[in-house]
Amino acid sequence: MACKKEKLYYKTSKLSFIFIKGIINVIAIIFILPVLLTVIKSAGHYRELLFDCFIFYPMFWNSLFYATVITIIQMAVIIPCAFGLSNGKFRGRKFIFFIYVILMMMPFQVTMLPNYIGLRELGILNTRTGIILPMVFSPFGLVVMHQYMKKINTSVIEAVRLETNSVITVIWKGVVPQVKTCIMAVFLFTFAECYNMLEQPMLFLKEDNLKTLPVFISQADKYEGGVLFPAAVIYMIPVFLLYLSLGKNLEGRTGAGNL
Amino acid sequence: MQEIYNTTRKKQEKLSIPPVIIYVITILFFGTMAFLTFKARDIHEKGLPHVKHQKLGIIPKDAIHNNQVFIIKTMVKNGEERTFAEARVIKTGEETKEGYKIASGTDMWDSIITFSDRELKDGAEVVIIK
Repeated sequence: MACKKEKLYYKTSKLSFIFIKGIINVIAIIFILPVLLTVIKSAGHYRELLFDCFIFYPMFWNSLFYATVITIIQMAVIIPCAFGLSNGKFRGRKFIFFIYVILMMMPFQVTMLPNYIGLRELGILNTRTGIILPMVFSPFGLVVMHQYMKKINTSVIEAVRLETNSVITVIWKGVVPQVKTCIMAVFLFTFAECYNMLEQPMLFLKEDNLKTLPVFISQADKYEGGVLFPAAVIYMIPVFLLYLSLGKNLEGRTGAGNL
Repeated sequence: MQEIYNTTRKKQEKLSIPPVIIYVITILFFGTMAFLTFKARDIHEKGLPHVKHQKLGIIPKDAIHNNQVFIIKTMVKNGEERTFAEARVIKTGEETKEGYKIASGTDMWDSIITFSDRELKDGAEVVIIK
């Protein structure tokens, strides 16, 4: 009797699993359909884009350049900041973190004008520095890393502190190995965010040679031929490749689940 | 349930792409984009007529076909200035050893194409030989 019940339970579980899997597959197909349509419609138009629209190339490399530089510098900035805010003991620590959370939740349109005025006063409007500098101090990565760093093993840090007084060595040898998965996840999300930025290049840059690929795609009607779809396909590839390389790190039990 | 999960997980691991292939695709993709960044314009221009031009004066007889000449027109295409050939019907004037003077049909600031390495069409993009 117990054996029959087990078999029935197993059969029902398998059926429900297949049913749920079916629904998830349908939802996945619905999400992937626009991407598939883009790839299909881009066929036959690559020549017009790659051999007749040369403004595409500087914009492509600009997108990669900004995303890579901003992400690398941001990692170098937010890891020590997050460590200080999570494990440091000083007055105003919680208040500073609260300000960061508020800043993270503010949409770009709110900080757009102060950003523009600040960049104009610094004289870095219409330059690459004007795009990189504000994004380096983006609060998203810091807030995420701060939450993750609260759970690290402090005894490891104390062990490293016994050997050295250097904060950089403590962070490099004691903190970074413990938060590697979180660093990979933040790296991926930050890279994607910077790669996809549209408003900053549109507002802060005048020359087309400094602008990025999202600007090109948003103004694709300015260009002759069907360049929109092949540009969108080529635009997707770098982030897709990056996800294939680093995506496995997001599947760990201490990975993106904690984001 | 655990067995189903384990089976699905094993299938996922079999389907995952090996890192070597990802690296090879990455190098191929960025290598192709880098190559095209520097060479796409040359490849594009190889397929275009290469022309010489001059301002008004004596136009060589070879440049005139059926009372028609081509003039250089500069227009913005895909965010940059490019040169195109525009056909104009003309009336030839005085004939000399070198060619013809143009009596009417062109303006004084027009540059007339005097030589082309291939057949020209109205509105075709051209490359100017210096």
